[in-house]
Amino acid sequence: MGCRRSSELDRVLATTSFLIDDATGALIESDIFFNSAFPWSVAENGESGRFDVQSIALHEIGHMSGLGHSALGETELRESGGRRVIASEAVMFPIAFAAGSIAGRTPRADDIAGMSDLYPDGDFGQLGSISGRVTKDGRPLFGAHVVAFDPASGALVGNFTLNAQGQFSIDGLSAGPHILRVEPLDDADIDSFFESTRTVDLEFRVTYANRLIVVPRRGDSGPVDIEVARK
Amino acid sequence: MTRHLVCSFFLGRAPRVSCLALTLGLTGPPALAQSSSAGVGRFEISAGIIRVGQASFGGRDAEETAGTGTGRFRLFSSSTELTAVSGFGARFGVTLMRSLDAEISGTYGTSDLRSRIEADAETSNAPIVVMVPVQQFTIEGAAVWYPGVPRAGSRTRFFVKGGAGLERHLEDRGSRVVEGRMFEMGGGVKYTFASRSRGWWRGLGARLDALALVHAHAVAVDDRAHASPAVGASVYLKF
Repeated sequence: MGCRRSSELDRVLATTSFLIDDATGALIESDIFFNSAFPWSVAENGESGRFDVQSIALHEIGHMSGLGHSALGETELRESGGRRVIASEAVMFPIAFAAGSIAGRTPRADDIAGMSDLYPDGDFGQLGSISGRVTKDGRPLFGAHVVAFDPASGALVGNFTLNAQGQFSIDGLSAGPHILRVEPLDDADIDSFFESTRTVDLEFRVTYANRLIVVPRRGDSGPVDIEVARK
Repeated sequence: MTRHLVCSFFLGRAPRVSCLALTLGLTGPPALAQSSSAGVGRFEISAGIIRVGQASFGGRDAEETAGTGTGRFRLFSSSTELTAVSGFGARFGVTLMRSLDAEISGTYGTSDLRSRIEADAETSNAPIVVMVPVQQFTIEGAAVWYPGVPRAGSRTRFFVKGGAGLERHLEDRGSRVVEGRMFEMGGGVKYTFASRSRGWWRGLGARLDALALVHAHAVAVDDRAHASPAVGASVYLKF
């Protein structure tokens, strides 16, 4: 972990790189660099106009641990280019909170579910999941962002449809009824989530599953089919 | 008058009550054998229908942390309720004292857990409602107190009731089973269609209950206790 001035990366606060043994898949080395072209702070309560090292480090350590980006956030385009975060509910959202904020120091439900899925402990086995399929005009939709909302706890946990069949699975959910919401991936650059060779359809409207989805303890909801409508 | 004289030959409580019933039967409205409704140790079974009013679990917004790092951003709003329960039940009661019964009952009913979603930050869609079916089983014990001694010949008998029990909810046809406690307080009235002082049954009537039910846990998504009104109508047979 270190600092380096990379003025040409005018929108990159930090990055994480990996050295992986192709033969075994083992992670040999991981490096995190903070771009010192930006102002940083290690102040306990944050510092106005400076990015919080702890918040950004937590995001990068998430990558080092195997997490990808979360799409649980809302943004708007800046006139000067780039995006401004309106809101986010995941440390692993690819765009940082405004300079001075320390909100990124606290993992959210989505981060915890993702990390627990990678490194499950005893309690994780008590949780359940929702799986299903998203279609548009009857055809599978790749890259749709599916979010499960637990009305009991307020937790938001998301994932994407990740294959050619438009299937998704959201793990690490508390048992009970959930509201399921599907949205296009329009709050960050597509290549923050998927390889640039993949085509992701953004031309559909926010859609909710037509029933409450019950997550059983230690089990899956059973297949949930959601047909989204064109914009 | 003559009939009273005949009865006066008997001694003891039961014959006198029978005598009263006989007298009433011959001289007034249809007979009621008071001994059959007030006899200690007698038991009663009943079956009927129930209707429990909806229980609101309140609202909860799906929120994200605002971009400044403080404050909340509402992605959408939701409010959840358990719709009214319709079902049926059966009851077994025993008379402990002249004015006090103990009873145990079980019910089965169906309803829906329903959420209303609105105010989505990214769409102007009209509010939508999503739901999931819930089957509800309850078992409870209760004490039934009859506050006044019924007037001779009266077919109606009012009561107050309090009890506690357990409820089990099966969400989405059994995908998840949740259990909770319930408490009830209320009252009602019994109306006797027919009664007799001999034979294998002693009374036949109808009963109406009006109760306040308090549910704790079970499908309550906010994990708090909620009260619902409930009414029941049943037919009973006393032995």
